[in-house]
Amino acid sequence: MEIFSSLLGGFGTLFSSPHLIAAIAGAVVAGMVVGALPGLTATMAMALFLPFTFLMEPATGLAVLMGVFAGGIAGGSVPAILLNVPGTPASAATLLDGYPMTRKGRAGEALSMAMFASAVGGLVSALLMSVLAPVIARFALNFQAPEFFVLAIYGLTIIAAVAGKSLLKGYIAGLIGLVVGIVGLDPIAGQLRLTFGSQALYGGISLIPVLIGVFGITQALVMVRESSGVTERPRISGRTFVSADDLRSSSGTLVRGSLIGSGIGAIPGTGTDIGAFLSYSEARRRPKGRIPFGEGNPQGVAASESANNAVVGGSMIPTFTLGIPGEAGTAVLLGGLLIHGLMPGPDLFTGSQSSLVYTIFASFIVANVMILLLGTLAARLFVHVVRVPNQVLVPVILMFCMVGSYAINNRIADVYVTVVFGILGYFMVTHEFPVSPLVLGLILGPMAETNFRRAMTITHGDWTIFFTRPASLVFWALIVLSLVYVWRSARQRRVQEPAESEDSPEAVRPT
Amino acid sequence: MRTKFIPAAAACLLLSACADTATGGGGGAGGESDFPTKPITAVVAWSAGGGTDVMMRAFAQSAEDHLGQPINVVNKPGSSGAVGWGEIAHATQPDGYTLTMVSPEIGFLDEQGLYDFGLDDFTLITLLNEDPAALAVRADAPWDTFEEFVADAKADPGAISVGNSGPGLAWDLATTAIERSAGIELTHVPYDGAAASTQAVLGGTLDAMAFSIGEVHPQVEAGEMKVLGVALAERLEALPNVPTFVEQGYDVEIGTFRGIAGPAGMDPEIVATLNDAFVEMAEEDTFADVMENNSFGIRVMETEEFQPFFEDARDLYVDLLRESE
Repeated sequence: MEIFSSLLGGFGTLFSSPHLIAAIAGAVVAGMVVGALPGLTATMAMALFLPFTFLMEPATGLAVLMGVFAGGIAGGSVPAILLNVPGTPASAATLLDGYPMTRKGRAGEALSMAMFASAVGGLVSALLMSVLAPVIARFALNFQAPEFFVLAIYGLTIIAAVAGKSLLKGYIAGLIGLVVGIVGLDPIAGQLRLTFGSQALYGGISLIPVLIGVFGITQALVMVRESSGVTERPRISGRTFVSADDLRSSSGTLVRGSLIGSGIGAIPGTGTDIGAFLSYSEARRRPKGRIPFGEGNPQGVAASESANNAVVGGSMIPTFTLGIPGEAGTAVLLGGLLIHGLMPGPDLFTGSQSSLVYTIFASFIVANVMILLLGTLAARLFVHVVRVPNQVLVPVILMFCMVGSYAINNRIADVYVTVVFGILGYFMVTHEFPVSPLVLGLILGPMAETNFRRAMTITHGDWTIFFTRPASLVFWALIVLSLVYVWRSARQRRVQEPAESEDSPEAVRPT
Repeated sequence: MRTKFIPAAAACLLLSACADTATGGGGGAGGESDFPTKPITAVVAWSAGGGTDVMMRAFAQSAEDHLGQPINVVNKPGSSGAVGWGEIAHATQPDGYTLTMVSPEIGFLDEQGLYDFGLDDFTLITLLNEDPAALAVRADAPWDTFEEFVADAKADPGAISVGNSGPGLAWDLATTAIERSAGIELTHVPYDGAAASTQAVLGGTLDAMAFSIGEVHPQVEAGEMKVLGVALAERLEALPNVPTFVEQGYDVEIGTFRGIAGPAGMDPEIVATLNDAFVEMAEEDTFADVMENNSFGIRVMETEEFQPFFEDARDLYVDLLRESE
């Protein structure tokens, strides 16, 4: 296979220059640190690194950007697992099972599972990208406004998977998210909605300050409440690496998560967060193993983390082959490509620059191996965070939340949003409302609305376009399946209810 | 940090004002020859990684050497630029130590009530970039010239859909300018930027897109798209085979541009110092390379020309905006 020899050539270039390997390692570490801080995203880290890469050799510069990107997404899982606070939106689904694992003394296992899953997701997507990029890119172009609308509706059915005990409360939370998503300048007609005359709301309420609020601030408030009562501190089990048993039972989830992530990544306009939630909800549908989902099942971590790093690899496909960046991170990467004179397009893989392209792929693969090595190594250090008493931890979390929400846009209004949603989240949690559906509503609502109206504008109001295109039909079928599944499991739950209702006294936390 | 900064800036202003009176405004004031004496902050009203951000960072890196002071780029995105520019317009000392990169939006978004500031709240310094609008379609589209496109648009008004970056923004108005010149009616479809619009054109749901020529340049090079017209007086050097609207008999000259500006009321001496440095910088290869690699067009215009140029552009945009409403 010609592709593999090209890829081997890429590795050759990489391993013949130790400074490249060192640059990738440094980039992965830097990315992980930035990703682990709530509010500082992988995209931001890449944008900051971009000017420095102008001065580097093309191969080094692009390898550094890839390393920061992959490391940033993997790093976001660390606070999600240890503190129930996602470092980036990509890890919002990771905490659903990651944090319960920590509470059960399995922090080390959860972290190493996250790193392992990230690496697997990254590697699978990298292989798909090297072999099938041009084919997948053509296919992904079929994804247009009608498909985005149906995908968003399908995504909203995930609310059932993350709703927890009460489906009704889950949907209420989801509706709050949808309403929050309406605020600001209407993207199609340019009208202001629900801004109450405040210019700070013209641009809408953005995801990250809300995310930091409903998870970070809410979690800190819950910890305050806990520490005034009697709680036992989570232990740390002797195990620092995930068991072979768990890896074996998660293997299917890992592969599915990697494929879902790569596929979602290949569609421009989606993102790491959507990929992770889709994979998580898919994993829940499979036989559950010994521990139920939502209560510390390692497969939940595997599903979310394999998918979000696979999105990174997948999103390079439209970026490299079509010059269409899937989301903000790849937009920065595209900037890096252009700066170094690489013109995206199918020719990129066969033309004079192809050896450089395969060096970039090889460095993405190396970056993912680094995540596994450095990440699991660092995990041994990170786990000690859970030993820190709440009196110290709570102020530190609050500080990082405030700094983080300010740092996104250097805007004090974002800090207010974080605080307001933190308090809202606290009341939701204490009344057993899940917050994940709110986040999903906020991610998917604007996507559904904008694409619905866009499609209707193009067709002059002919709604049959949502049912006549093949890709849309596939998603409609998935929506029906998903709803049938929700209905069936809700019925089963009603039958089992009395037996199950008294478990998990530590259930109070933002999920 | 902030509280310290403002008195310092005020003190600086006071000093330079004193220097002015001392020399009686007789030119070559001693105070300004020292400018700048401390780092300059460059505010980007958009997110990191976007077009303005990339250009500003390239600019900052090159301009530092000419001013002898570091230039720190700060992103203040939000509300379609209203946050970052609003801060410059309303809450910044015009001392030359806080600058921003402006684009046509500051001239007309107050018209829609989105901004509570306008062109008059800024001191324009140097224009660095201009990108004309281009009407681009898929390579296998049935039209090879704008003439053919117009014929089809006249036959079935509103049937052809054209993507833009948002209602009432530059590329939406460029579409209105194209409609006006040819007497046609098109369906305007807003997308989240050029990438999403490109995807829709390549995927076949959208017939055409009106964006900056730089945004479609890679697709044109790759043979995926063709350009029916560029809204510029003469053909672009980089794309000599791409016709202009003007040469096809349609008077469309519109686009977007970016330049450096500060708050209103800056000292002319400081403006001149900055302008000289920026013009010098723009002639160098380091800046030109970054601009070229990102498909940004370079157009340098000194302070005296920049102001009337911007006013003309504003009048055109406001006119189009009223027409489209």
